[in-house]
Amino acid sequence: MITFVTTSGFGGAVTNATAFIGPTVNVTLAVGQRAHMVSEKALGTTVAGGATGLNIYPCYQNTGGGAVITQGGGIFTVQMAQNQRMPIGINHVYSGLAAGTYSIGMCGSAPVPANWNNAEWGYVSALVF
Amino acid sequence: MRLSQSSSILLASVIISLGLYLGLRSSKTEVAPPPTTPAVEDPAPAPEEWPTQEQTAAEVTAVVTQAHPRWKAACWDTADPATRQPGRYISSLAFDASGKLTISGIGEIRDGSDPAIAQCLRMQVNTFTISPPGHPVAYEVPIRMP
Repeated sequence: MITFVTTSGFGGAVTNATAFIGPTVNVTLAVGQRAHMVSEKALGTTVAGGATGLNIYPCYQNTGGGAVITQGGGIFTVQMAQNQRMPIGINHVYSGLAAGTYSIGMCGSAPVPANWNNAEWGYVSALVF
Repeated sequence: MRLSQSSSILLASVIISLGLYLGLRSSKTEVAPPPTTPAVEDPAPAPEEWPTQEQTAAEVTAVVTQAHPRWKAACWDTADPATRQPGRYISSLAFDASGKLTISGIGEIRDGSDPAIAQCLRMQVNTFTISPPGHPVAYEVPIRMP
């Protein structure tokens, strides 16, 4: 049995701490269930010299609290020239999590987040199976 | 009758294959059960007990309506009055066959939503249940803030 949801919107902004940077969804997983997530969001900069150093990951966070947990090795040092805005994507299958409810989506951070000042909406879709 | 060397090899192969086949067929072998996928209880009712699509949709709308005061208290009342903007959103909800909420999300409407309010709504923990629909269902319910 598969359930699914798709949403869109602005979501969180880039900061210098690893945090969700696009819309998220909450998934409730029973023991042994998995969640597939696909997320994209437009990011860019208008700053002279561009924006650099963006690291992105698929992430989850227990809705009861706790840290944002990254998955895999990430996609590092994404950079853009001035006046660019491009969609950036990430995807993941979350498995082996304890039963519970989790926020899932794309997360990231950059050393100078103010340079990533040309963001737009993102999409996130999730399947639980 | 003399058999050629190749015919002898062929005949021997057939005899050996037949013997193996009959031997394996008659032996009782323990067949391992298929690997168990993680058990997920599925207390879905019989199809004749399933609610109609309209009944399920009405029930999903009702749980969202019931949650609205809680969402408003958490995301509108606590937002900065100087910056918060009234807006419209889409609550996307998926339920499993037993009626338990499995996925929830908040969608924004272009030029109609406050992104900060939307982000707060996404962080709200919901434990909705509806009457078992008997199969997975997903609904989108429009909401307004405040």
